[in-house]
Amino acid sequence: MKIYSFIIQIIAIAILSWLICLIAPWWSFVIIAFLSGLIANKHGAFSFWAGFLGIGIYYLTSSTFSSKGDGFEFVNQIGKVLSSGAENPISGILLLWVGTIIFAILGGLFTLSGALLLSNEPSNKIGSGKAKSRTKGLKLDLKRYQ
Amino acid sequence: MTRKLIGVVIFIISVIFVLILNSNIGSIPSIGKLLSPSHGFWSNIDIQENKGKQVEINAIHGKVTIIYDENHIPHIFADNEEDLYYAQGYVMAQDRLWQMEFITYVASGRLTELVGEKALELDRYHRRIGLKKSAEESIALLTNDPLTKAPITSFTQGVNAFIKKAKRGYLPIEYKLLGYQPQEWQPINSALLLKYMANDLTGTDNDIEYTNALKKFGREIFDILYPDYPASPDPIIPIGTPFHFIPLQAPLKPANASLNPNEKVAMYKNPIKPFLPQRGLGSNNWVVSGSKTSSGMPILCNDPHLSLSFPSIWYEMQLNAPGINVYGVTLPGSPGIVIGYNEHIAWGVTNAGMDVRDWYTVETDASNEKYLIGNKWEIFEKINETYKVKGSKNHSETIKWTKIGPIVYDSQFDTKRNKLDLVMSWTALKPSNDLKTFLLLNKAKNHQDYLKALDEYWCPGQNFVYADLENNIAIKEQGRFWIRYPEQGKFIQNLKDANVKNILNYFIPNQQNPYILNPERGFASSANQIPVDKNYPYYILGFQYENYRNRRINEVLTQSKDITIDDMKNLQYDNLSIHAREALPIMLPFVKNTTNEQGKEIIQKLTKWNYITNYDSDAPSYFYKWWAYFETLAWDELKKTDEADFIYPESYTSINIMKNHPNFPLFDIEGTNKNETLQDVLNISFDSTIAYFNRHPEQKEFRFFKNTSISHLAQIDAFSKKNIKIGGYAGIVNATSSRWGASVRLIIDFSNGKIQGYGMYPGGQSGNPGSNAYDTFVEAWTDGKYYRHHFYKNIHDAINNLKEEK
Repeated sequence: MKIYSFIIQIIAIAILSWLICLIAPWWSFVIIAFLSGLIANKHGAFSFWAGFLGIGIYYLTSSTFSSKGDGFEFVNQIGKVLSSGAENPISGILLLWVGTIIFAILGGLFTLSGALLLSNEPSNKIGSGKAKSRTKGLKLDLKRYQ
Repeated sequence: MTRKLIGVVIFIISVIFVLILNSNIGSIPSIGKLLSPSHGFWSNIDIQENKGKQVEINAIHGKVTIIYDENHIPHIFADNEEDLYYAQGYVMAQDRLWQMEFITYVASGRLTELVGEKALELDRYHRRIGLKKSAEESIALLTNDPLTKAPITSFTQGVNAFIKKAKRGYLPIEYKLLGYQPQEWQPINSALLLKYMANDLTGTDNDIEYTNALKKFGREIFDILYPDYPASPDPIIPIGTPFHFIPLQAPLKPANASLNPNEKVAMYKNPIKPFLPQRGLGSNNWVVSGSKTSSGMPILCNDPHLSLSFPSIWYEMQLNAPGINVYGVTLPGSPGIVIGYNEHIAWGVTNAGMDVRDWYTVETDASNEKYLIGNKWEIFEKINETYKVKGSKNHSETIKWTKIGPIVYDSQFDTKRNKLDLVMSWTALKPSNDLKTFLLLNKAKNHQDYLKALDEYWCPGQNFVYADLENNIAIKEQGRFWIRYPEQGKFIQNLKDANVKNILNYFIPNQQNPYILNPERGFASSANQIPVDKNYPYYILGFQYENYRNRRINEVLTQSKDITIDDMKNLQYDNLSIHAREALPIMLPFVKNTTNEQGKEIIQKLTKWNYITNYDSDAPSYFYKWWAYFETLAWDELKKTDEADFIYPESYTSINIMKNHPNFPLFDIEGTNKNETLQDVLNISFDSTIAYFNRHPEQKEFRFFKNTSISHLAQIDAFSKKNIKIGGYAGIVNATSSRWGASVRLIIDFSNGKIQGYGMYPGGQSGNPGSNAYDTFVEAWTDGKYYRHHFYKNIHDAINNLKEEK
């Protein structure tokens, strides 16, 4: 059941971020990520990944949908502009992944900080072992702070 | 507690991360904004099918309907003119906002605000020549005239309505890449755009170069190098046409007008000459009467040659409201249509090429507060200018104005200069309401309306070609042109001897400007050549008269009969080089004894060449390279240096010199012990040509030699196109050089009692590089294809036609 709430949180972050960015500044998705961290108040690692994946999905789907008509032609041009005349310019696909990762990290950090700021015990204990092993990649050992 | 603290730390770090991504750092724009899927470059991707797209917008009084055709050309249908121009502003901004605003930054000398210090000299030049000041004075005229007030006010409101919307979501990519926001559109921006065009088309002269040449070589050589009339002219008004009017008296030549050879004024360096067109480029227009066409009705053609750029110079549209129905191309940033047709008439323009900019030396008093003009002391008007420089501190300067114009060059601006300053007098500086001409032409019904519209026109002087459904054809060179004594304005003059009244207000009356209605030869044409022969009672001075394209157009039109639209298309794409046809028979005999094998091969190719400059042939590359080397060697005395500016004679004059003055002293190459002759110069330059193509064999193919490119206005390479497969060159009807070419090609046919247009231009309707309408037409423009215009009578006609086509 709780895995569902994790998935729901991811989808909610993705959709709400997309919606808020239609009317508010580019960074407004971090509000959604942060609030979702506060509300869902999951285990730190889960919170991070919920934000990371939610925003990652928002970025990937939104940008891929935008460029479906031109097959990344324009984004490749932007890559050339940003590479300022380099022989091997940044490709559109690379830009897509760079954007996705930067935005996803931001999403993850804001969801995580939202979850951590709420001092209650995290409601999510399920899969904590997995979470522990996943957190190995993170410099922060979240388990210590529970 | 610790958990909370960690949360706070992560939160703070994350916020800092966002703040960094949100800031412009130096010339790097906000990365966060740029990468954002909703706000960044992703949102500029705009691939859509436009045909039949119908949009309604709320204008000032009511709703306006805009219907887009398959080429993304908007057809605007409004119930009144205010709403019409509001919608024009809105629609234009939607497609070209960045371009419209960027040009006003250039014209008003504010580029430093966007790109920093590197634009400072250019900005200073634009402010010092007074573009902003004359736009400010002109906008007062435009907003006080009821005919232009409403269009300009409504247009401004429309542009601002779009800006408001764009700021909420969609902004052109250039704003994102350069990291700035559009400002509120002001009526003066439209005036700035028109002054920018005036600068583009008349902001040049040869006063300094001619003064230097006269001082260096003396009168006899000077007159051979720079004659007022080409050796075999073919003017706009056919040779021998009588002028039935009583001319006004030319001013008296001041006693001190001739140059004092001891005066140290001659060797000026003219530091910045931005955006100067290459010689032999300009524009073509012609109109053939029904007597020469297969339909028995006129055909009007126009292809203005301007700098090839993205977004395209022109925006095409139809404007329809009660009392007006007009179709054509216009300059983004200004209401109305500049070249086009309505239900009664059609018109087109080429640049007049008349010299309307003169330079004067000025004497000041010891305090540097007063100057001598017409032997009277007057006080300078001082204008303080501040330049906001992105990433650096502001720059300020004071520009001094005399009664006739500003001091452009002084020790502040050109540090190499000696103490003598140069004042510029330029007809573009006078406030003018040139927009009125175009708005009147948009509604003109007949030949009288056309002449009345032209009466309002000042600068840049243009050749307005005309045709109507009554089978009339005409051409008129219109602008305010000074009445001059012979050679007045050809050299630098002394301000103390100047007659202020003459400089400010003594112009050839409009009705005496070169003009012809229904010429006997059955056609009228212009291609930036000298407008009249020596019968014209006024002294004519051009800054750059063409003498190839005009003759080619006239020879083809003279020989043609039963002309069809296809014939006109072929003529607009005509690649024959009269330059080569006239130069090579003189040049080739001089090099026939070459022993070099490659040289022999080149000679053989040039001998067999039919002078057609197709993009995939090699003969044109050999010829134009050889010609360039020949000019550099023959006119080595005329090389620009840091101390002095010079200019080569026109190539047709060089041919005339080769032919009629084979022992011309300037053929000698400076700095050698030998006294070189034409034979030597041609052989050395021929050898250099052989060596050049050995080093660059890939450039043998003409398209790689000339490298026709369409560059983005902000010089962003990824948004530009290079090495376009198109023939033609400077001095050829298809005048496509590396950066210049036909900015639009229009053919307007009057057969069957109605007007049908055809066109093509090197770009697309949208200024957005992420749109499929950004460069739609480039390939077809290259291949010589045209699209058929949809000129609807009214909105019902538009809807019905679109339904039928579907």
